[in-house]
Amino acid sequence: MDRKKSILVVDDDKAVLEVITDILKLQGYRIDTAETGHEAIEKTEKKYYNLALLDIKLPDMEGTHLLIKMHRETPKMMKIMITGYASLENAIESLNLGADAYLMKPIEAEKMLKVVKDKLKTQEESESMSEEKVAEWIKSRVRKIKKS
Amino acid sequence: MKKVSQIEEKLITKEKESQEDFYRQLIEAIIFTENVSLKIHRILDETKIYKLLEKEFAKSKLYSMCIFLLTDDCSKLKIAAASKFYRKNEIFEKTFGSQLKQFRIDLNKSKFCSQVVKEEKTLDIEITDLLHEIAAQLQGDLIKKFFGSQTKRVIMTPLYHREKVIGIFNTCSVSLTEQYVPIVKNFAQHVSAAVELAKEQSEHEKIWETLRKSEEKYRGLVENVRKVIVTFDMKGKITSVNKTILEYGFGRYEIVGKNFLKFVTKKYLQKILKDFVRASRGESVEGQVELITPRGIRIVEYRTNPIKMGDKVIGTQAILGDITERIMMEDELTYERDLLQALMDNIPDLIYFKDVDSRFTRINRAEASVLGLEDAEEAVGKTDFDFFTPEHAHDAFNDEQKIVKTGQPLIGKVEKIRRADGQFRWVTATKVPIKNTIGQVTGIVGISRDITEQKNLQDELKRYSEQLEEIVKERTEKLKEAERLAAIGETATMVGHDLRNPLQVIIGKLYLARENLNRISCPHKEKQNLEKILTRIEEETKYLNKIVLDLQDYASPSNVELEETNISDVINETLSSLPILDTIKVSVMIPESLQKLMIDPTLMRRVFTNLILNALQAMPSGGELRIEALEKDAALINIHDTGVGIPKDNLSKLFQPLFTTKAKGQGFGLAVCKKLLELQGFEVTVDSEVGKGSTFTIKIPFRR
Repeated sequence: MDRKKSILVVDDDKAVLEVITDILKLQGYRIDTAETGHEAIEKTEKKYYNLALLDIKLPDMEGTHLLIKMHRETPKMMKIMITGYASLENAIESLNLGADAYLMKPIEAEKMLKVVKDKLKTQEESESMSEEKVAEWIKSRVRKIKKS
Repeated sequence: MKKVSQIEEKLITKEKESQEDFYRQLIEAIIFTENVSLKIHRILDETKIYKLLEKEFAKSKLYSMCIFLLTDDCSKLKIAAASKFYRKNEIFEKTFGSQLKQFRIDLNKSKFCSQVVKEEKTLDIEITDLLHEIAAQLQGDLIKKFFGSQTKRVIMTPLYHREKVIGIFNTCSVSLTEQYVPIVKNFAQHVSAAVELAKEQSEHEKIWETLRKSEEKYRGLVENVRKVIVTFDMKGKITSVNKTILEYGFGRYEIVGKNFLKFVTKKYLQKILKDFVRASRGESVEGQVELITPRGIRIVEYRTNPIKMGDKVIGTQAILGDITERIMMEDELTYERDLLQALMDNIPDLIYFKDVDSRFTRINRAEASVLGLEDAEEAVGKTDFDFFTPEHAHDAFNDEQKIVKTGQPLIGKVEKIRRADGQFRWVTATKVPIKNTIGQVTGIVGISRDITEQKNLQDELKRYSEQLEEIVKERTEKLKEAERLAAIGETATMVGHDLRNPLQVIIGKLYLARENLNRISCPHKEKQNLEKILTRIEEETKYLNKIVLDLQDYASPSNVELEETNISDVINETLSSLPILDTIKVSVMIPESLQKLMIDPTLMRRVFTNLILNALQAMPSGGELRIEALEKDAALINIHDTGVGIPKDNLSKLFQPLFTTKAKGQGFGLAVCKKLLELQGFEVTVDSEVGKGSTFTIKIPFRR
């Protein structure tokens, strides 16, 4: 890992938080956790996270509401929804609302790590792409100025 | 008297009288008889004639006389008159009582009398001789005294009536000689003539009396007869009427002398005139007419007879009888009969009358139509045997004979009858006896009401209610099942949700444990043992997860999205994801035409997973798994195994949730299959034989 990526895990079940945190930490990610929607929002406002794992069912708000809010406030942050069996439809809806992926509980550790890794890579690529685009834009702008 | 006695004495003592005296006496006798004759000829009464004779002879003192008359049988003579009795009658009657009247002279015992009567002789005999003959029959000498001892001779001569001898005229005198015989005979003839005249007169009177009585009788008859007897002249004027007319409220004076047409109602005028003309021609006419009377209009019946004089009709006689009451009663009867007929013909019920031998005597129109008759009259004299099945006819006959025997009615018996047109109808039959005034059963009247519609409705209702019961039962069961499924669903949701996190933790911890195990250094064998343990825990966790998954699926299945899918691919993918032992021979046969079907691939994968897992579990020691598709009216996909099979009793419960025969298995697999297939509009059935194997068939209809 070139640089340590930060991940926010949001779930109301402490045992789940703990085991997911352990698995991700083992891969060298920096992990923060939140047990409620409000806590999650507070944390994302104070600090930038590369990725968030959001349980779709939270005690204080619907996971999808949290998703909409985060998509608006921190569009660059990768958002992976974690759903139960009964909320597969919600999961699909989540994708429409701006989620980047969804995982169904219980999540196989390998699968979770793969999705997380994939999404972080996509993020990196899109970031570099936008840097390239900016550089391109500056270059073409410079050329235009020179011409004129 | 003294003088006469002296003459008599002279006649007796002096044997020969002078001729002058003799003739003078003879002339006196002639004059006497002629005088008496004249007198008796004026009398027209037989008895009075006899009385006069008695009187005149008694007056004469010279002569006496006695009349014998034959009794009816002509064998005896009775004394009808005797001049000697005229004065002494009372004394005589006191002495003899009624004996004289009853005194009879037997002709057979009196030679003289017999000679006079039978031989019509006139005798001139000694009185003593005659008395000698008849004295024995008279009582005592007293009789002799009456006849007197002076009289010596008696002349007996017959009395005639219509030339037949009816008796004897006797005359006695002291001076009688044979010269007197012609005078006596002549006088007797006068007496006969007078008596004959008197007798005839009395006969005439008798005839007149009879005629008078007969006329009175006839008049009484005419007057008292119940009918009015009226006579008209040729112009129609009433000439007489009997008193029965008073019963109509008329006085005779109101009728007699008037024209009869005055009393006839307008309605009948023409008819009555025609009849009168006919009657006037001498015909006998009969008819009916309405008369206007003080007691209202009366209907009378009449019969006319011509009154003729010789061959000429001079008038008409008519006999009238009042029939108003009868006509009114007839009208009432007619009305009653019409009412009955109207009732009979218009009521839809079947009505029939039968005699005691169950033969129809009358039926109504409705019954006629059941019997297939145009005319109700045709049934008369026939029986049920002529119209119905022998069974029905026999039953009805027995019922009716029982009514005739016991007099007890039969009420509301439900019968099935076959109409003449072949239709079967249900009827309620009521039959009651008809009894005469002394209580004998003389017949039966029956009414049958068609209750086919009601009965059909009843049956239908019964059927409906039975069906309804079944439906209710079915619905109740379904409801119970639905409630059960809902409860299961709720439980499943709850369990699924609550198990989700613990499972997540276990799976995560297992991963961490394995990572840790890889990093630590420990003897290889122990590491291997731990690895085995972890693997075992992982397997069980997966199974646990599958249960939760099934529960979840059952409780809230996903949306269905049918798309054209290659069924072979789905089957092969499913097979490759499952651990299949080498002891199982697998074959898949899907014809080209059935490769593409409209299915939800995700759901179908789950279905096949469950069904194939089931099949594998049924063959723990190996066997054959055959999956094939058949093209019928729908695509049929068979999943066949050669496993243990399913007992018949369990087949129906197989697809119910929480039903399982496996030691390890929560019983959701097949229920989920059924549910997922039904969501897509498919069906699943099972056929199985214990020890041979099972075949699950999925029926996928073709879609256009």
